[in-house]
Amino acid sequence: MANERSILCGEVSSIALPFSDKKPLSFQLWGPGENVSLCISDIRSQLLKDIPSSFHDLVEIATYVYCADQAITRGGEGVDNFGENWRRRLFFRIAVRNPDLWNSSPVKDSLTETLSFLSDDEYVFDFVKLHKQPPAQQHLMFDVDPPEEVMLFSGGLDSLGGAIEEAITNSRKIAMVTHRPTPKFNRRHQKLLELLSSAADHRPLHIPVIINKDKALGREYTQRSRSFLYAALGATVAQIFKLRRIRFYENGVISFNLPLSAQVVGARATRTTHPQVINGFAKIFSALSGKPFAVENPYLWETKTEVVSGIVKAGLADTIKYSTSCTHTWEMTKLHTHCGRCSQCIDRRFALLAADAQQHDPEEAYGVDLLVGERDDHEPKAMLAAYVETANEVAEMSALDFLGRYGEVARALKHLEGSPDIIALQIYELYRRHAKYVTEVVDDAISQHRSAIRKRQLPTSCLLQLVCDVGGVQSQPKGSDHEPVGELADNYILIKGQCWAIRYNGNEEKIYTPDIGLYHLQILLENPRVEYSASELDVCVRRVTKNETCGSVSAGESHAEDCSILGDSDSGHVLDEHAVRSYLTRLKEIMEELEEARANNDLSKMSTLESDKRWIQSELDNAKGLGGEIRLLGDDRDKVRKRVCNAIGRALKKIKQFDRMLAKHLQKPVLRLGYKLIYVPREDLTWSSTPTKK
Amino acid sequence: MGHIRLGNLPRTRKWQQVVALIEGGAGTAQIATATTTAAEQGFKLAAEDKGLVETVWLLTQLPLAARNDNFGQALRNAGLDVSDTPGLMEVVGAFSDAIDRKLANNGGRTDLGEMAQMAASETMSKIIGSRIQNLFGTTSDDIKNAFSKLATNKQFSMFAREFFARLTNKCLDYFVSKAVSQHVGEGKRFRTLAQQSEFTRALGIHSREASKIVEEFSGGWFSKTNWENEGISRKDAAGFTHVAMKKIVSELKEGAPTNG
Repeated sequence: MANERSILCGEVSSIALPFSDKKPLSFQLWGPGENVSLCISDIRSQLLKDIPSSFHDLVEIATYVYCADQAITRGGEGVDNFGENWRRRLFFRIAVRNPDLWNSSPVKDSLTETLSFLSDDEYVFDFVKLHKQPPAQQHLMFDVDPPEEVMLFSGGLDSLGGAIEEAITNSRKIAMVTHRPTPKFNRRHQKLLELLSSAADHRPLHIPVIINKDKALGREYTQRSRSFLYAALGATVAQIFKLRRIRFYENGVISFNLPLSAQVVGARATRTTHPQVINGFAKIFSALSGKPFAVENPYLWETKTEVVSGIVKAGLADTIKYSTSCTHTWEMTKLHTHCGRCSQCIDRRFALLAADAQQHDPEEAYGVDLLVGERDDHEPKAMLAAYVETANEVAEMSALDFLGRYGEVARALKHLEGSPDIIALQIYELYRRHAKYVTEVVDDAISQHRSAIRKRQLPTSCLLQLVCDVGGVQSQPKGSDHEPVGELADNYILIKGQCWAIRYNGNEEKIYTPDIGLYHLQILLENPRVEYSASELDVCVRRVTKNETCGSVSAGESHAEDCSILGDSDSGHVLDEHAVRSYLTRLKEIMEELEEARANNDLSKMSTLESDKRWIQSELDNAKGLGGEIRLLGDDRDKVRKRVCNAIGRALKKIKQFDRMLAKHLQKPVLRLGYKLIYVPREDLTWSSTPTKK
Repeated sequence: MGHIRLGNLPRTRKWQQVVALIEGGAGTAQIATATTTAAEQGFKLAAEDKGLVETVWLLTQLPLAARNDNFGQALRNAGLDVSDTPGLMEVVGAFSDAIDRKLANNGGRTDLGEMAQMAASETMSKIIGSRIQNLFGTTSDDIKNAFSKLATNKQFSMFAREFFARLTNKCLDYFVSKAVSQHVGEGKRFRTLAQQSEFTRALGIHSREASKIVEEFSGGWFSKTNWENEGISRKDAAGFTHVAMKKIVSELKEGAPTNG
């Protein structure tokens, strides 16, 4: 297992770690090595009572898990072995106030079970006694009216809808717990709070919590464990007020989060408020507090469109423009509060258009317009395409098709009250409603922009252009110069865009990535029974590639003026006869001189002669090949032969991967390589450089 | 919350070949060949994949349990937490839950296993759902009868093929979808979303064709193993999975005929 890490939290021992992790991660919430700061004082400073120690542990554990989640990469775009690095094995050793409680089966089991489903990782926890407590904090005593309900408030449309329903429609006293990842939200949250307070009988209690960590600890963007931190904060606030429940407000489509694309496997589709996670949180908090603790999502059976309609119906439509759904917070500006490209922005804008509430959601707030905005290739376009295509498909599906397409539905059935058959049907109906809203928005937009679509005035990469196959003159896909008109030739080899297209024996056309060997092959195939020397072929290909033309080359055309063709004769031996004779004569002389030098005890001369002797012998040895004969010189002609044959060999290897029949055909004796190259097929087999019959 | 991100194929040569073929207009068979070659190492791990093997083993247990007088108890014996008279979606939910329990804390979980688990749920819903008159509100006896019919040589072959076809399609699309959606629009391989969708459907058909080979031997294997061993063990299922995946990969690499 490659993706294993140990995480040491607080002042804990680093011995006996389960993984051979040479450099375990270390998190410190306080003290000299502090690298994570949890502003839990935001809670403590505003409330009357201290936090129960088990919940204090909970918030710190959730903080450590959240920070580790961001500090350890999941392998980026890696897909080898089916994305094996996506799932990580994480060992946490954490100093807590109640190690016995946290190491007990119900708490630890619920914790690992819930987190492993939430983030797709494998968790191992070792809770040890916290010896050094953080510095004591002063608790300010505010006169807080205790809330009746604690809800998690992200500032998005769903949680805004929940806050309105609780505080205004139902006139309840609520506490809104917010994990604030960036100060960019401050002003918008403040504005929402003002609007809610002015419309509510009881001013909501807003509790923002901030968690900071060293920049070096932010390596992974996915943050699948964020909702655990969020829930832990909410449960802690509820515990302080002696409440036994917290509420998430998240529409059902996002809660079930069925995959938009085949690449979205497992928790790549976030499970932040999936029924299994919600139940898991409830189990953890119940075990910690020793009493039943509920975690609910009242919007599980609502679509986002229906949530928006509820906000409008409650008369609070003016709050919509202050809500924030975008996840690309780094792109957020005062003008563009939403990027318009991320999945959240797409979902939000569709919901607002479907609920006919667009007048409350300024179009200028989006970096890219949902329907007619130009989108980059890659993720922005892919995301929109996947979102709309999923809705298109679901809108046409029967319940049977839907359940036969989304196996993920099965995961929710055991975690919701009621008959699994009925729950499955409810999920289907929820998605059908969502699909209907989305497709209606697209249909209306097509109708509204029909003239611009027909005149092709919209950006080519915008949504409306992607869903409309307009007639008339069309620009062709890249490299479609050879789009066939007429009957296809049985055998052709040609350049198509950046690639090569080869069809053999009337079979399906195969595409090949650019390869110089295919140029050589093209010349040979189009000129059967014509013998080329390797250098002739090399010159032809150089000329063709230099001119960047894809035209065919006929036999006899190869003698380009600017390229020289090497003759057929070889360059002779490495050492000619004369050289060998000279070396041998000199060697004989050296032997005689050596004898003389030895007799005179002339050490200096002996050394020089020995050196000369060795050099001549090595030259003669190097010139000899197998059997002691003098080798032929490796000349340019041989280099050209190797280059051409290797290039064709590589091309044939590619062909073998995709078209075994053609690869078999292009074997000896039909295709012969060497100094002379020739293609000799059966008489009636001809190749064309165009896809259609001439 | 509820954030999703879509990725790209890596910039290594083998994966960039897949991207180039998609961009260059290659057919589904050729793209499937290139993808399978690029992902071959991952496919080789199939027989050791706990999630995949557990899924296949549980699939073999369903028809056998349905032949038992007490369907509910027989399913519970196989690890499915169901009532005495389970409906279809109860079985489907319990099936998925049983695999999750087997891979508790994600020990041994992989994307391949995850896709197998989803493919099994979908296969059950589709095959059993289409055989009973009404997907919802049918009696447990209807469900039991529908599952028990899968225990014949021919029917198990069809059931196994359906499962492996879905799994194969998921595996191919898992990679290919990372590249396909980036080639939509004017001047691209797929001018419209409809064309892209058509390609994805063609990939599904190709996966079905490549899985035909499983149909040829799975029924015989099921009947023979069950008769000789008086049941099917996880080890038997692992061996069967290994052979099935190897054959499918070989078919895909050979470029199984799309219209075969």
